[in-house]
Amino acid sequence: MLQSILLQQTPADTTSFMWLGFGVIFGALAIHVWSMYSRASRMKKDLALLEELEAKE
Amino acid sequence: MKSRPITLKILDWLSVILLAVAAYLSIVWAPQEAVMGDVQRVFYIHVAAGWGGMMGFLLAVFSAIMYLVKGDLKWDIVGLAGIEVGLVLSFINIVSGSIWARPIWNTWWTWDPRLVTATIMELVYIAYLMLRQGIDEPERRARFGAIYALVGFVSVPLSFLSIRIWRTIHPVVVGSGDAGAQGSFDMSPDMRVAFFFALFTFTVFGVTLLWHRIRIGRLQDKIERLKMKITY
Repeated sequence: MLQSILLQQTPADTTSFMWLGFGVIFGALAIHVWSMYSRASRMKKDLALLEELEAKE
Repeated sequence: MKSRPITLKILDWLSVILLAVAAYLSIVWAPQEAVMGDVQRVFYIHVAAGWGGMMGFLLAVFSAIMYLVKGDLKWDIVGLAGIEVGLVLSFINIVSGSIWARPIWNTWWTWDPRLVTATIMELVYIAYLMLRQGIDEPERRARFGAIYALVGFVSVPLSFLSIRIWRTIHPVVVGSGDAGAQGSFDMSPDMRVAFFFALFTFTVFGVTLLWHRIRIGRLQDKIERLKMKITY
């Protein structure tokens, strides 16, 4: 018991932090990609509308 | 907006594949670190995201110089793209570092020079985006943005060098660091493969994100011009 406390035999159990880390990394990347996609689609619609207005004038 | 160029389509798919392989190499292929355990695997992406962020800020400073020399608004669009992508990747770098620190340093946050300088860098660029919002006139906004990007870039090398010039507990894995660093480790050859692959992945992925963000910027510019034309 004392030996296992004083001398670490196995790596620390930090697996849950690893999953949290990768979850945040890929989650943040996914949100950014989605945000760019969503902005681009909205702008395309705006542009189409403005071009239509310009043509009418 | 023109459809995506073939090179960008290739970059999109290449980024997806590279990210999947980088995740595999980090989570499965690289050996488990002997003391820290699995959380050390976050390190590969943590450093690569930091590198990608700095690449974005470097592009912004280059664009700032180009804008001030040439006065062409396209450089403002490129600079803004660099800062936005840089911010996202730096955010990932800071948050993943904090998650690593929780089991290794026993805290989510500490007032270490690296953490503080990285956060200041992030805040400097967040302020850039906020201040831009307050300027309507495109030329003035671009001039302000260029000068701000030049001055704000001071925070980037400061953050990079902080662990090499000040006493810190943040490990320096590549090169030599402070003897008081907590969480240092020597990379095995397999770990090096995962590390350099992640760096390569985030270089390609960073370029892909930048290209997409520049296209959005161009589209936004076109909309603004058209709005002005219709209104006046």
